[in-house]
Amino acid sequence: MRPAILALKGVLVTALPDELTDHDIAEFQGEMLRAVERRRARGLVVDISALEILDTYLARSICETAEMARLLGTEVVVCGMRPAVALTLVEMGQELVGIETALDLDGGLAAIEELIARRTRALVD
Amino acid sequence: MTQVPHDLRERLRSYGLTDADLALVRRVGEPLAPRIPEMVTAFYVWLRPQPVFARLLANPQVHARVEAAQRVYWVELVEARLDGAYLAKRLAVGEAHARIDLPLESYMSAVAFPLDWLLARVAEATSLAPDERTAAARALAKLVHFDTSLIVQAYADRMSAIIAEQGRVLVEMSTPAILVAKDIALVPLVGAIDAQRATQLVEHMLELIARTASRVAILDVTGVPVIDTHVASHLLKALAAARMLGAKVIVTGISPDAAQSLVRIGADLSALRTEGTLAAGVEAALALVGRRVVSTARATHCAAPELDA
Repeated sequence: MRPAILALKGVLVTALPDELTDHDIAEFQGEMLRAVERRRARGLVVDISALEILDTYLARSICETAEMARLLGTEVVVCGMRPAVALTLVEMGQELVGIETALDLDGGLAAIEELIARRTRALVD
Repeated sequence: MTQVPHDLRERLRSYGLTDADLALVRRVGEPLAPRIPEMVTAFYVWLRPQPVFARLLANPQVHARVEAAQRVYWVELVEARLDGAYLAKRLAVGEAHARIDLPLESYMSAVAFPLDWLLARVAEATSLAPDERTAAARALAKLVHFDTSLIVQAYADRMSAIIAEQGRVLVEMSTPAILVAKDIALVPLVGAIDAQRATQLVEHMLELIARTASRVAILDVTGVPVIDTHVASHLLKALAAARMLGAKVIVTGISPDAAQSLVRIGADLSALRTEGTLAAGVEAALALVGRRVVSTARATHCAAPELDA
């Protein structure tokens, strides 16, 4: 049931399966953060193309995880959101505030590189 | 009894020891004083099987000295001349026992034996009327209790002194500030951060930044067990203070657990620049001051491993 977390050139990539329980979500959050720490990842890309429903709890968890990961020195991009999910989120007023999103995994990987570069630049500015 | 210092009288009063009590102790004590050596000998027969005895009195010379001191102690007690010197001597005895790490519990149990011995002798003192015997026993018990309170106070004083000293040493050794490279100051935080230590470490950090004209300060929190809102607010204060000196702050070594709890409790850390590891923090700091680590041609085999591999 637990999704795999893959490492790709210093960036971690993972995909959330559909129908995660709240408990699964909480556990997986911890797992992602530990993986970030262990692999010293500079970026984390989360693919949510399998999700047909994205409820308030999961939406908030994703925002929190991104903030936590940033404290660990890592950027986060969410990619592959289905149009129906995007529509529901906007209707609920639950956009993923402060989260970088991308159309698909290719876009996600490009976005994460851009974020990492921007982080380095932000430090120098 | 006019020579008794004021605070000693206060103390005697709080333990319910009257001049009449002390007079009574002196009266029963007079015939008992010559028998104190007998009591001390019996005491060591009782003490010998106790493990603490073997540990502390293995040396015969030490043993002889302790036994002699003990005879003097109990003779003084039954003579009951309570003055400043008496008080000071009791505190010194307590301090000596605390210094050799005798458990207070062992001391208390060792007082029970002489007290019982003395009370038994008072009970069989035929020179006194029955009600006088009762009064003398009560006075004696009060005096021994009073003595013991001085010993306990000496133990407590010593413990407080040790704790205060350790606290001071700990504060000093746990908030160093180090210049790791030109323009880059490192403040490694180890242990729990309270308001006092936070103030100190900010001081050390600012002092180092000012002295070395550093442009970046790295606060490494790898060794901080718990990072809560208080610690977070201290970090933000350090950041604000460093900014006033024209230095930037990078926080490194926040653990996954700490990151989770910080975000959950809603600490606003958007102003903090964080890096996962100290190594990443040093790289970021170098980037800030426009430098970077490069492998030299001659020593490529011992170059630092790729951090993000």
